[in-house]
Amino acid sequence: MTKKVTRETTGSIFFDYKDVKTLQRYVNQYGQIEVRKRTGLTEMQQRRLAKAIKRARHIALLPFVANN
Amino acid sequence: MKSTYELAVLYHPDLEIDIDKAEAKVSKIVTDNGGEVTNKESWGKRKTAYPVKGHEHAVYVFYALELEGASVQKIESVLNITDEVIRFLIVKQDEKAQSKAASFRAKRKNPDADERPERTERSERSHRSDRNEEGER
Repeated sequence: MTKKVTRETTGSIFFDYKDVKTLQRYVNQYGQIEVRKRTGLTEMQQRRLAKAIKRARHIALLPFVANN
Repeated sequence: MKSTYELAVLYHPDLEIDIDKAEAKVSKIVTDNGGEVTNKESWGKRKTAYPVKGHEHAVYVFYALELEGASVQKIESVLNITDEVIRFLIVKQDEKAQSKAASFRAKRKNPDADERPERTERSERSHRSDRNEEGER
């Protein structure tokens, strides 16, 4: 069973695709984006996070698939 | 109407020493298409997360641009055939979300008078956790 994480914040968060360190917190060891249940983000924040991660993948800051 | 765009460019790793020439070429592409480079941020040579066109490394440079919406496609088509650039990304800057997040962060650092009752509640909670810590010791 995956444990539900309590919501981190009630305000809006802006995710920058250049901010690798922050984005890495929201991907698992295989480089997959974590589900909302685990990230504890709101719907809007999760959508913005996903967009930022996908942009970071395009410019090779994050892997599409990680296996190390 | 002009708006702010962000351009991320991955240069060929062999160009690290002679990057100025390649950068001049890219900024010329922007200015030729009616754009303007307002800011530049260099990260230098960096390992890529996966091979890009066979290269394990790339020189990362980020630009802030003032562009006409129509010139984005033109710049993209020119960058696609530029050999110095191995990968690029042009996105519109989400100023609304950015400023909203910034104001929220500022509010959190020095909360307004309205939010003070909440704060006392929080300090009570921290008292309790203090006691717990002592108990553990």
